[in-house]
Amino acid sequence: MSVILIATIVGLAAVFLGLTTVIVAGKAWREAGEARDRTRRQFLEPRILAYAQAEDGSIRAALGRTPSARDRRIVEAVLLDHAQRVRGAAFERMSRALDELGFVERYRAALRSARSWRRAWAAEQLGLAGARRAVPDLAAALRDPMIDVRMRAAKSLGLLGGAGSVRELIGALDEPNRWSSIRVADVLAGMGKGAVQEVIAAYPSLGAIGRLAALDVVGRARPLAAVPWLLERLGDAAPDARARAAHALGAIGDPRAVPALETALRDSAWPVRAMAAKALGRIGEPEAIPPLRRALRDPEWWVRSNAAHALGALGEAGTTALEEVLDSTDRYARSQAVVVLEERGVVDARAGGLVSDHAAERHVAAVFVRRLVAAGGTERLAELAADATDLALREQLRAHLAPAPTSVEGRS
Amino acid sequence: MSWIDLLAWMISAFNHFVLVYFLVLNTSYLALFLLSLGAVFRFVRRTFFSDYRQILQSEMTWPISVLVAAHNEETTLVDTVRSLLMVIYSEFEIVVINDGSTDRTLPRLVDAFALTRMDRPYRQAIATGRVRAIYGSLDHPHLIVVDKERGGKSDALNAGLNLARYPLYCSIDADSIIEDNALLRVVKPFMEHPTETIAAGGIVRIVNGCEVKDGRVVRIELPDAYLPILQVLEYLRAFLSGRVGWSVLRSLLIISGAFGVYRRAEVVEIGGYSRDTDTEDLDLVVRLHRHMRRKGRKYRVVFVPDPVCWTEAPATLSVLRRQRARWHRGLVRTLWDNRGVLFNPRYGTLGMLSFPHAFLFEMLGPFVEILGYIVVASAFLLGLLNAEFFLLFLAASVLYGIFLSVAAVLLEEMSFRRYPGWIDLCKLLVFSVVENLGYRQLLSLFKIKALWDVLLGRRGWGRMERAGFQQAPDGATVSAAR
Repeated sequence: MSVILIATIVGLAAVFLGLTTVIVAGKAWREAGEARDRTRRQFLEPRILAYAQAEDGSIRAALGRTPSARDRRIVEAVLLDHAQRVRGAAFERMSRALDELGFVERYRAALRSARSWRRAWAAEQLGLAGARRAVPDLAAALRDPMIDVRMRAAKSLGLLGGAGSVRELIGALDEPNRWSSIRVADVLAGMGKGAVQEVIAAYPSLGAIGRLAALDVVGRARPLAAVPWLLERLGDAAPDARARAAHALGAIGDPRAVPALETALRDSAWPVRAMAAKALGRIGEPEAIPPLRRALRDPEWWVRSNAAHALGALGEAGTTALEEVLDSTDRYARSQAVVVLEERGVVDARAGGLVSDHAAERHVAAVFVRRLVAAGGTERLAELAADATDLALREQLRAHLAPAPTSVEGRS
Repeated sequence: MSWIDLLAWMISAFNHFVLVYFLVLNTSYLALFLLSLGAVFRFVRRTFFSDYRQILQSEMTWPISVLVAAHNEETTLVDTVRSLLMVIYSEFEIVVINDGSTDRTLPRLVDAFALTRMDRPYRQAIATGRVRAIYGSLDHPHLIVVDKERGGKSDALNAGLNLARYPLYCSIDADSIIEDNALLRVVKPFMEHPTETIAAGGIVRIVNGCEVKDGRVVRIELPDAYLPILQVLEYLRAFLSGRVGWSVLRSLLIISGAFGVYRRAEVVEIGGYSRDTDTEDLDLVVRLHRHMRRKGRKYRVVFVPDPVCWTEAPATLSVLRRQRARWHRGLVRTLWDNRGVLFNPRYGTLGMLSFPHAFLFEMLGPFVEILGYIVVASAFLLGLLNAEFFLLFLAASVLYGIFLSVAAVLLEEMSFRRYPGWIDLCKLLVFSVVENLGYRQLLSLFKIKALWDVLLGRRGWGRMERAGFQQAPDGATVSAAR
C-alpha cells in the first residue's frame, strides 16, 4: 500500500510541478524570443525596404551577409508582410528576394508534405510570395483532400492571376463544401471581367453545385455584359439556378432585365419569385409596380415580404402603391403593406399631416389614417396617439382609433 | 463476525468504493482533456488559415437570426444589443424578446434604439404566451423587439423562433457580449457540413474584470475577486477540456444557452424549447439528439473552441448558489426525462458514454463526493482508516483535480492565450490549487441541495443580481463588476 501511495502522490505532484514549469517556462521562452525578434527586426527591416526600393542588387548583398536561421525567419516575415502592401516593382523585388533566399522552393516542397496544415501554410505563402512558377503546384493543390489546403490554393491562384489559375479555379467551383465554394467564387469574382467570361463559357460543363457557384460569381462581379446570359438562365431547368440568376440581375441593376423578372414573379418555384421581387426593388424601375402589387397576394410569405419591401424602395410611386394596397381584399397583402409603411416611417410622416395648416394635407392624412386603421395597422398610430408631442395630433389620432359608436336601434 | 466488524467492513468497503470512484471520475476527465488537446491544436492550426475576413464580407454567407431573451436586464441589455449591432456579418437580424420585464428593460431599449411599435405578423409555429407588441427601429432596420407577457426563458425563445426569418438562428443571453467574428466562426460548421450540422456552440468566458467599451471587450484581465476567478478556471476546464472532448466523441450534451447556433427547422420540428425545465439549453440539445437518432438522420452537434461569448459571472456566493442549484435541477430533470437513452446502444456514444457520464458523475457525483469526504475523514479520525489510505484518497480526489485544473490552464496557454499578463497566469496557477480545496466541494454542496429540491418538486430561476459590464473611462457610467 505504502509503495502505491508514495508512487501516486509523488507521481501526481511531479506531473503537477512539471506542468506548471512547462507553462511558466514556455511563456517566458516565447516572450523572450518575441522580444529578441522585435529587436532584430528593427535592424533588418530598413535594409529590406531599402532593397525593395532600389533598382538592382541582390537581397543577400542588402543584408550584408548570409542571414542566420533566426534572421532568415525574420527576413521572411518582413518580406511577406510588405509584399501584401506594395505593388509593381517593389513587389517584384520582394518576390525575387523570397525566391533568391530559397523560400519559394521550400514552400513548393512543403506543398507535398504529409501534414495538411503544412501544405495549407505553403499554399498560402506561395500566393503571398507572388511565385508564378508555382501555379501548376497550386492547381494540383486544388484537388487536395483537405479543404484548408484547397482554400489556400484558391486564394493564392487568385493573387497570382493568369489564365491557368482561372481554369483551375473554375474546376474547383464544383466543391460541395459551401465555405470553400464561397471563397473560390469570391476569388474568381475578384479576378476581373476576363475571369467572369471564362466562368460563363465553362457553365455548361459544370455540375449542379458548380453552376450555382458560377451564378454567384457573376452576381458578385456584376458585369453589365452578362445580362443577356443571365436572362437566359432565368429559363434554366433548376429552380435554384433561376433564383440565383434573378438575384444576380438585381445586383447588376440593368433595367433591361425588368420584363423577364416580371415573368419570373409568376415562376412555379417560390424562391425564384422571392428573388425576382427583391431584384425588381433593387433595379428601381417604376414599371415594376403593378406586378409587384400582384406579388403581394402570393401564397408564400417570403415573396410577399420581398415584394412589399421592393415597393417601399421604389420611391413615392411605390409608397402610393403600398397605400392603395391597404384597401385590398387580401389580408396578407394588407398586412405586408402595413409593415413596410411603418418600417419606412411613412405612417409617422402621413399622420403628422393631420394637424397641418393646409386643409388639403389634413384631408390626405385623414384618408390615409382611416385606410390604415381599416387595414388593421394600428400599432404605430396607437403609440403616436399616446406619445406624440403635439396635443392636437394625439387627440385626432385617438378619435380615429376609437371604436365606431354602435347605434342603439341596431342592438334591438 | 460481530456487528462492529461488519460496520468496519462496510466503512472500509465504502471508502474503497469512493477511492475508485474518484480515480475513475478524474481519469474520465483526463481522457476528455487528452481528446481536447488534439482537437484544440487542430482547430488552432485551421483557424490560422481561415479566411474569416473575406467570408464575412461575402454576400453568399448564410443569413442568421440572433435571438436575445431578456427578463429584467436593464443594466446590460442595451450594451448587449449594441455589441450585436456591431457584429461583422453579411446578413442578419436581431430579435430581442422582452419577457415580461418589470424593470426599465423595455423603455431603455425604446430610447436607445428609437423603437416604434409595428404591425409585424406573428406566426405561431410554436405556441407561446401572449405577445403584447412588436417594435422595430427606423435607425436599425435589422432590429426587432418583441414585448410579451412573462412566460420564462423557453417561452421567450420560442416567441423569437416564431419571428425569426432565417434558417439558422443564434441564441445569446441578454447579459453576454459576443466578439465581432464569433458569429461567423460558429456558423462555419454549418457551411462546411450543410446537411449534417444542426447545432454549434462557442466558448463562454467570464467578463468580470475585463474592460468593456461600447459593447466590446477592449481589455482582458482576470477579476480581482476570488469567486469570479474560480469560475474563470472552472469555465476553462468545462469548455476547453470538457466540451471539446465530447464534441470529438460526437456526443456533446449541451450547448450553452449563452451562445449557440441552431438550425431553426429541426428545433421547430421538436416543438421548440421546453417550458418544463430549468435548463432549456441542455434539454434542447438532448431532445435534438434523440429526435435525429430516432429519425435515423445523419447529424452533428459541434463545439467550436474559439468563438468567444463574454458573460458576467455571479460575484456573490448566494447568487452562485442559486445559479448552480438551477443548473443542477435542470440536469437532473433532463436526465430523468430522457432516461431511456441511458446505456441504450441505439443512441451510440450518446447512450453509452456521455449519458452514463452525466448520470454517474455530473448528477450523482456531488452526493458521492461529499459523502465520501465525510465518511473517509470520519473513519480516519475514528482510527478505522490508516493514514496511507487517507492520503491516497486525498491524492485521487484533490491532487488529481489540481492536475486537471493546471492541465486546462496549459491548454489555454498553448492555444488561445486570452490572458496575456504574467500576473494573470500566476493567479490562474494558484487558483488551480485553491479551486480543488474548497470551491469544488462547495459547488457539490449546492448541487446536493438542488437534488434535494428536485425531490421536493421545487423549481424556478432565482434572481440574478447584475452589476453591469465594467465600462472604459469614457464609456457610460456603469459600476464595476469586480
